[in-house]
Amino acid sequence: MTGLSDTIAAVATPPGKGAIGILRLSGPEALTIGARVWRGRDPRRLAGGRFSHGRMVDPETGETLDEGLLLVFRAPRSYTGEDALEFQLHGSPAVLRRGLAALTAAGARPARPGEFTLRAYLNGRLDLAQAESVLALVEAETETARRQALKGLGRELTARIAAAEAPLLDLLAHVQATLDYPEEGVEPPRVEAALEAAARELRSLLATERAGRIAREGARLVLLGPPNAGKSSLLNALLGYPRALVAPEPGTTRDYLEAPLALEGLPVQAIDTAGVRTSNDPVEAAGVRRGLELAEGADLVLWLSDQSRPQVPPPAGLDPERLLLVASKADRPPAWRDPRYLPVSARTGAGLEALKAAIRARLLGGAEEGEAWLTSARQAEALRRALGRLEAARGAPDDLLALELEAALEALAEVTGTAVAEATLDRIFANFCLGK
Amino acid sequence: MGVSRETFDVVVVGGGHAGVEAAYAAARMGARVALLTLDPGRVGAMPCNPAVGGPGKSQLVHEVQALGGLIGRAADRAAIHTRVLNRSKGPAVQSLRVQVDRDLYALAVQELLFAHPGVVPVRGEAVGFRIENGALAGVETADGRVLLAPAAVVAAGTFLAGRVWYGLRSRPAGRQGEPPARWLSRALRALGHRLMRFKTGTPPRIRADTVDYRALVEVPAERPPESFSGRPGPHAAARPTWRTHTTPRTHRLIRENLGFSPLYAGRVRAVGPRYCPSIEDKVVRFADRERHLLFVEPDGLATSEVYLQGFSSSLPPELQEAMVRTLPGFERAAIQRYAYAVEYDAVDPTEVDWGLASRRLPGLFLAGQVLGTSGYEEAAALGLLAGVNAARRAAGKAPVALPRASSYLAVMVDDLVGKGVDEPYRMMTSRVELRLLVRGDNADERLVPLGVAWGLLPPSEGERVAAKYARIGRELDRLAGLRVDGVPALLYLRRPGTGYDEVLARVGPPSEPLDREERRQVELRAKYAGYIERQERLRRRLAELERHPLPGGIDYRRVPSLSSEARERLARARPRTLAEAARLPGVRDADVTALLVYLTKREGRGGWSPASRATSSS
Repeated sequence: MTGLSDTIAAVATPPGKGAIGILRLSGPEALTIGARVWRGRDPRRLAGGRFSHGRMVDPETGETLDEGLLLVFRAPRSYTGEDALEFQLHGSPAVLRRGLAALTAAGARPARPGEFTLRAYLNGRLDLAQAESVLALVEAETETARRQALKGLGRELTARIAAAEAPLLDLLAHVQATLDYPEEGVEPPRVEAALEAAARELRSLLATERAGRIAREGARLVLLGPPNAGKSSLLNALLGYPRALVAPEPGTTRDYLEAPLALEGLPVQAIDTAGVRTSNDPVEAAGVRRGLELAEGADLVLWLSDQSRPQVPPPAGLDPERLLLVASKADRPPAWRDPRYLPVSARTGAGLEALKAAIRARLLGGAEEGEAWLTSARQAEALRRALGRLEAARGAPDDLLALELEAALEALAEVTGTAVAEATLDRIFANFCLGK
Repeated sequence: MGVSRETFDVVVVGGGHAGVEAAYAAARMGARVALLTLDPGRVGAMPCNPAVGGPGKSQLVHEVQALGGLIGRAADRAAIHTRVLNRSKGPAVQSLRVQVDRDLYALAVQELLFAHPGVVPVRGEAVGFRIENGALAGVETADGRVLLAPAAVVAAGTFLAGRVWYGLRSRPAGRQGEPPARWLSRALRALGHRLMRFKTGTPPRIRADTVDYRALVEVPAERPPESFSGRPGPHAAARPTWRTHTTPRTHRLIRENLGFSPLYAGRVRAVGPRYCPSIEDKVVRFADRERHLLFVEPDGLATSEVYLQGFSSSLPPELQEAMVRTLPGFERAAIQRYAYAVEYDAVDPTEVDWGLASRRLPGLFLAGQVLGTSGYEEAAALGLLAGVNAARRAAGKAPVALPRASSYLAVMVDDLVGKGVDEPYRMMTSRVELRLLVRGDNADERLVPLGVAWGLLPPSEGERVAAKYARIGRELDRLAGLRVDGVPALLYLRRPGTGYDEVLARVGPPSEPLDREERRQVELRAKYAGYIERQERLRRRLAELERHPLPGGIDYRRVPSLSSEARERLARARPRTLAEAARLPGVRDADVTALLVYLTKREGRGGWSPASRATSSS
């Protein structure tokens, strides 16, 4: 249902990595929602055309997602003619993705294709000549999105979502049968079992979200470690050609450099960083800081520690979920052993294949290759919403249970297109002998 | 003086549940109404089971009641047993069913209806329409009379080309023992209306003194009795009802004789409702079930029949006796009236608009079973709306319609008109998306203001209801400012098992005392506040699209970027608002967008205020 009173959010800059990434938020609650995710000056107190320097945070945990600028536009003086905010952040896809998730968690809805333009048009912000092209644009965007969605929505994914829908439709039909025919001796449904079966399927599908995104957009892999741990050598070894300048003295890589890397078809952007140490050289010190920042936005961080020298543990604060430990220079006599570390020699190539396999496995998480993966943030958002409704359904009285099930099924229908009402009625009369 | 020269404002064809509400509503709005019926003595008859209400249906009765209609009041007066259903399952689905005395019910309807000076009963069969300047000008009867009127409501029930089946024998009839309307469906078809062939059935009526009640399970009446009007009738807890069930012998008998059913023998191809299956259907479709529940309902205080709900059949009378005698408690039962199936013509409901006006003949309105519904309550609610619009047409006023989010009635109309039907339509709670907002218990809040605005209700009724909900609101405000055990009183009340009375005992009563119904509202609104708020947000979102009218004259072939399916659907249904358009099957989000853009371009700038801001909230 096209709703014009919702507040909508989207990434406004093209996909991929750029210097700046912009999140756009528009609608009647834009300022309130903005205040929930922004630590800086309160957007509700800022006049239109003003900006605030500050931090974007996760509204639930308060965790900082990125630093940047917040631009405030007051209705009707915005692109859409509504209250609108623009968050200018670093252009990392990971940052923008988490920022968008924060906005939806704070109450916004992901925008549909062309929806900002549509609102701009409806609110009189575009003239008649421009208006002519709006529809074509909306249509084209919708069509592209639809085709992409269809492409992503292979038979398998549809089948897996349908596997979650089926117990819910059965349960809803059963609950409705008891509600609309209370006296006909319909056995009470087994609510918990059906909810759990559906939730399990949804959770397992959501676990593939990251894999699906990485397969689609590529992953960011950051090499981190003390100076002269062999990060650049390892990068060259992974690439199969020399890209980074290597030298025996520590601190050779003073800023960072990137190289695209394909791991059995998985696109990975590998980033070599300056070594992590306290440096007196200001240029190098900035590089070290930058390396740690890069690690924040990475999908996976390789922490290298030279096995021939005293072990250096990774700096505190790195997410262990996104950390892979490597004992480098494994061709030399070891000074320490640690089973958590994967021994690799960039010089001989020993352990290199195992490392590639480990990187791949960690990036794809538990997602089995060849199984259906979620392919868009929209799908994942719909599944998460459905899951939330299933949680609320637990222990609810029957009339609310039915409403929560309907809401969950409608969220799933955004992905699969199942018409909930008709499917339910059909099931009621197919499965239960009702009616006087 | 001859009726033949009389002129009316509205002619209502049919004296069933749709017809009487249509006539009564139109008369209350000041119209002079002719109620044309084959037998005025049968006005308000209940051809099916002697009960009013149930899940989904009782909400419709409450709505008709809020708009001043007959069905709830008549049911209360004639009640012999009441029952609250789904009491523990939540306010969205709680409902009331009232068993009535059939004769007292018809009597109550006739008394209330004919007491109104604006209603004139006319005996006769409608056979066609008088048409002038492309619009309806009157209704012609079989004996050559013409009832002149600028508006007519056809509420012919199952009488259009009705045919009654007992086994493989059939004869033309509208109901048991009553002649059908032979010509009217021909007239409707000649005007271009698409007709459908539907069927329904009734169970046998058993001689009350031949039933062994000790073998049945008794269902006691509610004490104290409940009512639709707030005033239970004098006999409202006078009778129990009972349950029994089929046995393997019943099933065997039915299976062995299926060939004698006109449906299974292929003689009747009309579509029957899935939710009202014959006992043959139940036995065949659910072959693994060993028994089916049956409900034994007394027909009245003094009547000699009981109604065997759940046992409708089209098998031959000779067999019915044997079938009935396989049921516990019915071993020596005698059938007083045999079960029969009836097939009849119904008008495809997409042939009317959201105001129930025919798309083929201006001035003609349709309501009830003739429009593809099933059930007294559905018929009554549609009849009321058709009556309102017929009276408005006679008075030269624009028709009214209800947004889907307003009522069960509006959901039903929207389903019928927007989607059409392929079986008789029955109201169910599951059809109503916003059923936590749209409840039986707040029908007065939702609809009385409309009833006053339409002239159905006196302004004093509007003031009474406004005062009631103001008191409820003030009490909720008061509770919001009080604490129980350090917890805000409203939150305390939300705890499972906590009631308003308990909170009152702790914080003291309000300065103005609340009656039982008002106290119930306070508790319900406090307990369900979160859900109600969520549905309220959804309603506001839907309401935006309701605010975009679609002018009648749109040529959908000229709207750019519509899908061809949407073009066809829109051109046929001619929705009045963007909301109605969005709900049509085959109209997708992209089509709604195209319509929005087309509308703003067509209307130019300035007159259009962005919907988004009108509903903005904190």
